[in-house]
Amino acid sequence: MDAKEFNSIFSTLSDKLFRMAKSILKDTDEAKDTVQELQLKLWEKRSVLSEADNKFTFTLRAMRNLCIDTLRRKQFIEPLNSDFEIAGQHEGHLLDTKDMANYVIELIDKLPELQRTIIRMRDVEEMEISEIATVTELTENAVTVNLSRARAKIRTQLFKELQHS
Amino acid sequence: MNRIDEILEKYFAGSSSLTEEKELKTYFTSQDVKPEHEKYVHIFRAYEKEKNATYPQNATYTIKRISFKRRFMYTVSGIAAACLLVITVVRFQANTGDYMILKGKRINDPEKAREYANAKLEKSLSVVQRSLDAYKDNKQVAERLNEIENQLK
Repeated sequence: MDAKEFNSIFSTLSDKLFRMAKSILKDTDEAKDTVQELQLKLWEKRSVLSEADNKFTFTLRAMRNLCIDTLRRKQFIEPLNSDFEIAGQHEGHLLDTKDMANYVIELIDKLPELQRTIIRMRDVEEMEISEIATVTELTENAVTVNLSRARAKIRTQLFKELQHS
Repeated sequence: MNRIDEILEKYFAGSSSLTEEKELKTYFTSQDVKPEHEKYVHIFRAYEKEKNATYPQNATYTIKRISFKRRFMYTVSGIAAACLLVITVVRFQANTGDYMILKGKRINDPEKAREYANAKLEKSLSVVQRSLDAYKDNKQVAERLNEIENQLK
């Protein structure tokens, strides 16, 4: 794989990789750095990348694993794969319609890492369940269960907020 | 039940197809949303908004430095563990009738006390080493990125 081919693959995926890193790390600068770190690692292991059947899922999986390593390095307290209820509700202040989309984004950010990664891969990146299963190294059924739980949590919290408003 | 309600039900069960979900997105970002569906609009608007986040093409890698406070803490804990080891060993060698209280238990065996002190020292040193390694790795990444950037041009 030469530099031109590598650049072409990487630049096609860079926005998706950045959004995934931002979602997992919840920090824009850290996300930018981690995408660059991935670029370096993939370039050094480009022989493995060129042999991958699906370069798209291979690269996204590498991105997720690198982000999780970064989180572990920082010794984050959040359990990476656990399933817990959304904590830290809004303090009852009224949100206008424009803010509601931001509120939904905040709700997604409060989901456990696995669920927020899955919901974003599906609803923002529009990926197939089979592709998400490959990236997360889960079964398709487990992906569907996590996706459904994540969406239901968002709906419940949003409706509660709308009622308060 | 109309078509949108049907797809919504499948959507929240995680069983809708990508085509059906695209149909939902088109509907909820249009101006023709029925009043009973308005509460869902924010969800689909959020996804559209998230899609606009793009990777900055001129991104530069940040070399992270360990703060003075953190470095100070690591150094102090390392020194404290080393002192503990020295004191334990010297005291046990000077007086064999001495003992040590560890988690409320009296330990008379100097070998056990030395093992405990050694373990404490190793733990502290590994914390210091890990932080230094992280800094070194980070610096190496920045240097390597510069080289690779030139190769990829």
